[in-house]
Amino acid sequence: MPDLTKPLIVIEDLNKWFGDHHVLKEVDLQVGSGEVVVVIGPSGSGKSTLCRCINRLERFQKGVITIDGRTLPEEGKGLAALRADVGMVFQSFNLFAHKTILDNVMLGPLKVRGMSSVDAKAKAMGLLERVGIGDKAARYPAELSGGQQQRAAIARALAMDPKVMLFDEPTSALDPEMVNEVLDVMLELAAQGMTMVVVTHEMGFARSAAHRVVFMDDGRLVEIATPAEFFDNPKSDRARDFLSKIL
Amino acid sequence: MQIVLDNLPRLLRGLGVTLQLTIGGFLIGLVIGTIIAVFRVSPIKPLRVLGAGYVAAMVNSPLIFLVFVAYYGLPKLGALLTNFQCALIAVGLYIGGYVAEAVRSGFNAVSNGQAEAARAIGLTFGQTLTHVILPQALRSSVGPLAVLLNANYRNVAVAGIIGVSEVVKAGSDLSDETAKQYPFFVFSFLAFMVLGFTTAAFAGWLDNRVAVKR
Amino acid sequence: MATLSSWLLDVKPSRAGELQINEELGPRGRRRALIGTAVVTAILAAGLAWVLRRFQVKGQFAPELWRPFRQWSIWKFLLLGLGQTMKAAGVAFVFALGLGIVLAMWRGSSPKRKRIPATIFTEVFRACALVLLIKFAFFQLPKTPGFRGWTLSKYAFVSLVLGLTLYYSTVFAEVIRSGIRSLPKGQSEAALAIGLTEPRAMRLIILPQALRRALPNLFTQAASLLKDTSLGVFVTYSELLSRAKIVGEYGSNFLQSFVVAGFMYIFVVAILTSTANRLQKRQAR
Repeated sequence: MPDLTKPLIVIEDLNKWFGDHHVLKEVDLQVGSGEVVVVIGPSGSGKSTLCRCINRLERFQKGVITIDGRTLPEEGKGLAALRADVGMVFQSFNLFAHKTILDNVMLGPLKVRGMSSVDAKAKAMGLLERVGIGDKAARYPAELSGGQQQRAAIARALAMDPKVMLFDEPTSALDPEMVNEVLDVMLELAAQGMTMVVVTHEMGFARSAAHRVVFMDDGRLVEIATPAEFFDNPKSDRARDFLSKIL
Repeated sequence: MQIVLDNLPRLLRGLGVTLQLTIGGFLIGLVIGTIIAVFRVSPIKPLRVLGAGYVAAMVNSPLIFLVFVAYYGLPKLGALLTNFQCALIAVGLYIGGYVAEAVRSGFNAVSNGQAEAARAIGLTFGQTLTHVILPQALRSSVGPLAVLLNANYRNVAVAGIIGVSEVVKAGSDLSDETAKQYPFFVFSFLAFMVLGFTTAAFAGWLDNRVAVKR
Repeated sequence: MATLSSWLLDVKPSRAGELQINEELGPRGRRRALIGTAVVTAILAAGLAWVLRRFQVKGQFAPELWRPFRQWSIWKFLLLGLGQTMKAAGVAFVFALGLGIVLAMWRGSSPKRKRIPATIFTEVFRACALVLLIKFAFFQLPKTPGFRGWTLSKYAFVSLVLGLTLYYSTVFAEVIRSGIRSLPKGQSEAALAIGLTEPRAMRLIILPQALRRALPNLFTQAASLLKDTSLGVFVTYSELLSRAKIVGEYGSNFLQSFVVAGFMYIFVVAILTSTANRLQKRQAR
């Protein structure tokens, strides 16, 4: 079980506006070391924005986020260093189109961690084997299927030895038959004790891997519960309504 | 035929001037255009306004107009330049506006996700630019830039209007002197065919070589 | 008008979804940008002041150099030149587009007797400098049976239009051809499947869609054609630029008359380029 007494991510009173639109409203959340938190909710509920705020790909106007006890710097080298400790997996993979899969995974260790190219290559190959695409190392992203690209993107994030992994709808852009190969990698990560924040529509994953489920609607955290409680006995009307539509 | 051979040195000199204006003007344009393109994505608004204004002025005025401004206008402000320099400056400034657009289109061809992914693994602004954005943006600009170079040898023929002896002007001067026109028209025409097919082949080769696999 | 000015001064760093080279700035970044703005504004102001000072020192603000532009007759002279510019551009555009469509269709068609001549025509006239085409037409026309005995200005006009038509027909043909190529194959297959012959499928199904796709590029090239009417200077066609030069020679005020002519060019050409940009953005969605 994760250690909830030692929160790795602490979000306090987070507020964000896009112009006049208040997209995150007084969000408070703690994620413990080794915990898997799955964020679900209707589209436009702010769940992706919340995920992107954690490594400040999205700026916010009010509130505090700390990671492993350190407050997120607002800009510059400090922010870059902190992001290196936070892995992120995007909906649209975002592999670097001009680099091979291997170079994609090696870039961070080489340029951010200052690793030697021999070490970086060994590490990258190990990770690619682990996500099952070691044979694709010399290929370019466009030559891979969506599922393979997303697994490569996970390897790229893992190459930084992150303290926490953020997944922003990692399977939403995939063809149905490729969803499972990505979810399997994520399940394995969860089983190994990685701290994860996962925004997803995959309720099966939430049920089997999450320690806690966070339900968001209209920029607020409406309900936080264990998967069993949430799926079998949702407290709020909005969560019940949401679940009735998707299950 | 004989008359062309007799005057070949002058005609080839004309061709040389055409090449100098084409390549020199393009290089000047490359420098100016890249600077303007950077201005246009700068966080400093006056620079963006300057960049947008420059591009709008160049893209919307004829090259020969700029040649006239340089030739008839600049001396009024005390700048004394040779005819060739006037033409070179006008071509460079003009191409600069188009280069700026080509480079900007290269930047726009890179999706924002690429920059976000680079930031997410902890690359700094400079590293994101040099390792992720610029390599892709420059490759995407190569095609449009090659098209510009390919168009430029045709543009520079306007320099003849201020007495610069590029290939067409050299030919028509010789026509006037010898009272024979057709051989010189044919020479200019063939010169353009050669220039056209070589630059087009070069552009195609370059584009093929650097294309980003997507 | 609103679209014109909004495009001319389109200074947003980038649009939604487009690359953000800079991240949204933090407090320190915003402070630096503010300082940068102040410094740059000062430098630009100094540059502008220096240019104006050159004008001042060289007496280019002298009232007599600008006085001609308070006379309607001078404006009328220039505006009629602008009319001549538009006339040549309009006529050449119509012919070039018509010829360009034919060339594009022939190049895309199967019989060799159409494809080969169209290909040679396109490649040759696309590679040739417009100045040479116009000068040659101006030289050749008066010697050609059936075209003798015109006035000089008629020769000038026809030579300019002829040169522009030949060159821009190849440009338009290429633009339309890439429009045709961008259509999904299913369009022509579906047209043939309902029993249309190949030429009719081209005319009724493919071409209308290809033209719509090519529209932004057609506007861009039309702007370029409009600018190239200024090559009429080479054959004494009395369009805007020739007339601006005449005004400048007459009053010894080249700078002043070019400033006026420059604004006229930018105004009319920008109508076309801004339309092209607007269409481009709409299609990108």
